[in-house]
Amino acid sequence: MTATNSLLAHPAVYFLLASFAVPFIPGRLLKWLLPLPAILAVLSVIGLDHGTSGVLGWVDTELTLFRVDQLSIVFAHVFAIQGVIALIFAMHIKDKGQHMASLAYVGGGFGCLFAGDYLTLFVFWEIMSVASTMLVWLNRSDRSVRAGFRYFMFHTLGGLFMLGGLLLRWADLGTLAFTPVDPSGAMYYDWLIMIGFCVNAAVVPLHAWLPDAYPEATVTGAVFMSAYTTKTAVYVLARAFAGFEILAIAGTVMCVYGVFYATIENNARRILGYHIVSQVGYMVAGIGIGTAMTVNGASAHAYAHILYKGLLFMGAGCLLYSAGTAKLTELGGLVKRLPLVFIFYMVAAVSISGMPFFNGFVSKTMTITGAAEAHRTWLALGMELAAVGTFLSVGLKLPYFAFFSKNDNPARELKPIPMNMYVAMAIGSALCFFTGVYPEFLYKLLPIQEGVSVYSPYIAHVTEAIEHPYVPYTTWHVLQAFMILGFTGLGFWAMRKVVVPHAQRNVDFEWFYILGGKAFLAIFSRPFAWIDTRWSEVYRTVGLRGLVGSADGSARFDRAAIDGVVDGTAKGVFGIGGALAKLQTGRLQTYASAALLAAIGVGVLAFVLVK
Amino acid sequence: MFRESLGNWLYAQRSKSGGWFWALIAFLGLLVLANVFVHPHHPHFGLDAYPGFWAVFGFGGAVIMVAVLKKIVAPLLARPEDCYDRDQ
Amino acid sequence: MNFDIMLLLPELSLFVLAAALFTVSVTSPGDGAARRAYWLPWASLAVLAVCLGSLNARGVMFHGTYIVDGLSQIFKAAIAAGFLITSLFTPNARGVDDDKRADYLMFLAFSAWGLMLLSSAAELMTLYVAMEISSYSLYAVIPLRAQNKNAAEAGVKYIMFGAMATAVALFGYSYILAGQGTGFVSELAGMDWSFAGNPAAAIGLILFLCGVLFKLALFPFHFWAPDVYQGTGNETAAFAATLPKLGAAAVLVRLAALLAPNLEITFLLALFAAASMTLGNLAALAQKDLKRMLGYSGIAHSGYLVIGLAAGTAEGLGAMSFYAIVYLLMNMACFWVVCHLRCDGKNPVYDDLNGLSKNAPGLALVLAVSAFALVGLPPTAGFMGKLFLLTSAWNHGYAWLVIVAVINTALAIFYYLSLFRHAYTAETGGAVNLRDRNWMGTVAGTVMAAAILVLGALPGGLYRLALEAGTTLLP
Repeated sequence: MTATNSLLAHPAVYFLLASFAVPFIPGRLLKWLLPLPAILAVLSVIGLDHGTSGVLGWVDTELTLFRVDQLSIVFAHVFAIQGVIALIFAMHIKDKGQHMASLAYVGGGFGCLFAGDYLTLFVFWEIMSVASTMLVWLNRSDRSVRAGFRYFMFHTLGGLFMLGGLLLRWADLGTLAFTPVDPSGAMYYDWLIMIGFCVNAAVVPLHAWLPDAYPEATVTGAVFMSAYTTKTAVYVLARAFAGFEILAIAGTVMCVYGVFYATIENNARRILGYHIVSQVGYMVAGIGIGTAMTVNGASAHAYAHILYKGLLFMGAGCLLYSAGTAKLTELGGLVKRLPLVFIFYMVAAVSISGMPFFNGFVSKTMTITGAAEAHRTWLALGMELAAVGTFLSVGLKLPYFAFFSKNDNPARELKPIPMNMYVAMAIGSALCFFTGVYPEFLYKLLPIQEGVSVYSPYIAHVTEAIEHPYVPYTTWHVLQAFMILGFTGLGFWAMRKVVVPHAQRNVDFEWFYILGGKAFLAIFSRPFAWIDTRWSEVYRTVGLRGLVGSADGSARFDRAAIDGVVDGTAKGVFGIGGALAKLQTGRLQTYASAALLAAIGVGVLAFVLVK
Repeated sequence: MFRESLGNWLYAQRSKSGGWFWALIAFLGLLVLANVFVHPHHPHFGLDAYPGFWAVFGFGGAVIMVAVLKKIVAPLLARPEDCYDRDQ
Repeated sequence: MNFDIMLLLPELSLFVLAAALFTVSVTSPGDGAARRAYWLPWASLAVLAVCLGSLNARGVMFHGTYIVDGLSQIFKAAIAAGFLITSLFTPNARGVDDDKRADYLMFLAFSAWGLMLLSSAAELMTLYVAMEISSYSLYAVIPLRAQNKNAAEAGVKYIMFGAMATAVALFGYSYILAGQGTGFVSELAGMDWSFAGNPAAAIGLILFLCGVLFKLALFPFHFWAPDVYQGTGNETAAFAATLPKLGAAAVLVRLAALLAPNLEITFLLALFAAASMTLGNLAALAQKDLKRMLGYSGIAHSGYLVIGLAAGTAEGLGAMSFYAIVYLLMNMACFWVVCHLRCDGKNPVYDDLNGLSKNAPGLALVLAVSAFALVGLPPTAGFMGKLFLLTSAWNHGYAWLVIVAVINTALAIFYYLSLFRHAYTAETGGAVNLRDRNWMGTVAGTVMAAAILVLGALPGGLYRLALEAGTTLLP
């Protein structure tokens, strides 16, 4: 059924309006009103029907603001829920700028999800880009300002790739419709668009902005950023590029790349940032493999990931807020005074690791099983290895070195954590657990299921996925998961002295970006600088003197020659006029005779000429 | 109140880490035993039909990853923490 | 006879107005306030309203001698508008003695009435009679200028010259009757007017046209214009310089059906137009008196008007009607400012304009707009009118005429913009004694300036009306 949803039900409306309204609401009231747009969004998303509305005519094409189908609903569902959690987490923030930025950011995310055409998508994409940059800059430290600047530059570059691609696509196809692209027939502009999407999805090698900027965002801002930018990118990749082989490979590379870096990082939020790269890798790989089960797995994984990654960032954010630092070398022994943070963090940590009874288990294993059943053995193995690494760094290394490893130092001051942050983490943990033990809740939202038309014709094995839906809780699956996790734990214990973090920054792909920038400068600045100096010389000696000289000459010519001619002719005409005026003698008899003579004379002339 | 007692209890487990370790070993042994009887219907990788494959995979993967990354890769990539805080 | 009073409403309303003025002039005491006839502007507004309401009236009356069609109704409305504007500054006219004021106004009303009849005349004798009605009324008012002998001289010149012109016209009429056998324009339209085919009729037509050209002040029958305008009162000059040209234009448009483009007559008219333009513009360059200058400019504008006739197309006729109406606005606006420059009723000169932009910025603005419009600069209606005229003549063998017109426009820029220069950049010398203006006059001035600008931007509506009127006339 395709009913049309009223534009008032578009969740972006609530968030963007709320963002505008923030400056006008007093602080005390704002605190309690903050989660309201997200709650409205949840109610709205639950009530949405599949269909398209909000179609505007523009120039010679159409823009679609509100295209709802199962794929956008599953993402919107979790966006809204996470919006509630993150806004509750941010209730204690007095800085209105941060609230405006985060609300606009979420609004932009919803706008992207429901965009039916590339141009609407681009507009909301850029709104997200700007708003998330604000979330970094509003941390107001020198390092954050620099990181925010780099983040913005890189995202603008990605946006430009997307813009170029979409304009070329429009010129070629005559439509801006945001529809799936045929993997076997992708044009150069589709690749440009994909590059733009991959920047936001943090696909290796375009990912370096994520671990660079996320640790420098505000405590609450990072919670927002962990969810929306990358998952919006996953959504658009799923919509347009399902079945593209290159994404399958890139995704698996992301999986292991992320965990490798996370193993050697020191900053807790940077570790989590690399884990975003890794987990998004699962989703990108699932989209790339392009069977119904892997696409469903990618969507389920996105859903679960938003919840547990938000919770992880909340935990690390609490550490940062309370202890003033996120560096593992400077933390340690905090479990005594921050036990709840530890508990909530561990819930998220086991979720991400895929422990049974938590939501990672029902989503990650679906993707891996899907990859294996599509006979992509190496990809599946890579994903399993990444699962080992995930538990290793997020589930073991981080909490160990943050909460245990050292004795508690009573002299160390810990800022008390406001109640709203605990409430938010509690809600997140509850949801991680709930969706873990009751996977049907999540599975009912997946894009490919019975009774729902498949959104893309390039997805394979749809009927098999519908007839044989994935069952997570089988004995074997549970056993395998516990085995992997347990023996990873044993391995960690064995290597606990080796895995100690060191206070260092590990260089990543930004080295190549900087190299490229330097090369560009070197190529262009030296020769151009040389040319410019030479040119200025020429201009000064020859050009300027010549110009002044010719101006002088023209002025003289103008005064003497032209003015002379003009004034001369004017005087001449004036003289003629004066002479003619004298024809008016004032004497009637002259007039009468002159009239008759002139009439006859001209009359004869006329007759002669016409003959 | 609850928080304090929870925090104290968790902190206290540091001194009991030996006990926790042996509990883990016992649990892992049970799992390997169970793996003998419970195995996947269609092995995806060929090798994973064997009991204990995933155990080796988990343990070996963790150990090798940490060793290679921390000992070899990390020193190559290391930079001072404030390397991007100044304009060059 | 086919008499339908509903078709005659415009003429009737104006006649009633004139009759009322007659009653006033006969019954009220010599120096009474009633003689000033302050009710006149409202009454003429009512007449204009009636004319606008009758724009769609159509019919033929009085045995086919009187035709009510698109052309006649547009021109009647234009004449009523012109009369309205005149009525706004004539009641206080300094140049007319108070005891003669009501008669003065009555004659002006009758002159306008005669012009209305002229625009509907469909037969040559009717046309002649109407022309005479309007001329005689003007003969009476030209000398009416208080304490000024020049006005009497102007009046005599006007009467004598006019008498000669109308005598020639009557003579021509007799030749036409002899040559073609009828005086009805509709019947004359299909006949042969070439000199080879029907020499008597051709000469007759030329002579008849002399009478019309006299009213239009086209070369070579223009000699009276500068003297008369300079001699007569300022307000009378305003009326005499504009409204008769409208009537003459209406007649020429109606007679255009007779003038095929390659006839000798048409070519003659084109030559007259070219000479008119050139003479008028060149002579105006040397003038100091504003009214004399405006007289010469009027001669030049008559030349421009006749360009539309030369091409012989419906666009040309439409352009001619459009330009006539626009000329009414431009010239009236200019005269309105000129009339208010001196409170003593004497002839204003260029130097009287000095400092106008500071002393009376409203007057200066209206002057600027009308000066630009008379030159033919965009965005004024004058530019649009000239554009329509020139484009209608270009492709029909009269390219030389267009070139002459363009050169003349360039010549005209000097003296029109002198008005602007004196008003805006020159400093005032001694005491300023501007004539006081009543609010109705100010409204009228503003409305005229606005209309000039609006028609400059949106000429479409009026041009289309004029074009439709012109198209129905051509065979």
